[in-house]
Amino acid sequence: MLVVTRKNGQKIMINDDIEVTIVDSRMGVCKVAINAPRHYKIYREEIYMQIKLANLMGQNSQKDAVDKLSNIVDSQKELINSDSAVNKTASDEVVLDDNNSGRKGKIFINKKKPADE
Amino acid sequence: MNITTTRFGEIEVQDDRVFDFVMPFIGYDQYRKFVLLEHNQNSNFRWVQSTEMPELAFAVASAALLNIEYVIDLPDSAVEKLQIESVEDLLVLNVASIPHNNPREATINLLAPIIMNLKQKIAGQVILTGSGYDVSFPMFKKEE
Repeated sequence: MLVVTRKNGQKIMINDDIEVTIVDSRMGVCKVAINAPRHYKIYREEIYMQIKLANLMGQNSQKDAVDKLSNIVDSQKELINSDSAVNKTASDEVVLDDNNSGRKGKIFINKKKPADE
Repeated sequence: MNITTTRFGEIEVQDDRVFDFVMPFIGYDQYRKFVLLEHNQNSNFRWVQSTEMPELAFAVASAALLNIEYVIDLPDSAVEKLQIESVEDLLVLNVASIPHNNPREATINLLAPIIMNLKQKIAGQVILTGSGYDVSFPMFKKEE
């Protein structure tokens, strides 16, 4: 593991294609800009760990538990959650594209119709 | 091919039903080959079963099951790795977790869906960074 100290504005190169810039750092909070080719996946570690844990629980499921779950879904549809699935805290992540990445699209599941006027 | 599973015993699957998880399940990097199995004829749930490790299978369901709007903005890294040309080619499933075998408390991972490219037979767990979606979204309303 490499531990290195940087001042604001300084950078770190990883391989030839990843550049990490310390944008701002004060009072224990650090803003980091990461420039890497599009195919690199970059995550906050705690998000990564949350998903790893959710996967661990998910792969622990057994058939009888899923049977019971299926039954509830089928016979008690009124119980199914309809709360907003989005967390209230807005993400502070900003993706800056220097070339037009032209996102290949969004997938809409249960797209709600706009409210009628 | 014949595969061994702990939940379903020995089963026969067509070779063209095997998906290569080019973006592996987080925490399960070494396992790349999975098949999609039905739970039973009527269930909304399915299983993503490893062809390499008999015990490894994830219970999954479509988020369409829930009464919520779910919008997936595909990250560039996913579009590249999964060779996505059209969203029409994709199947989206989410991993369900059932805590302590208590199905009433089951949650579903909306933050990191499983995206399967049906055309290319490749798939992956894609983290929707910045979406604000919940990794443990409760499937059911809270008990009164």
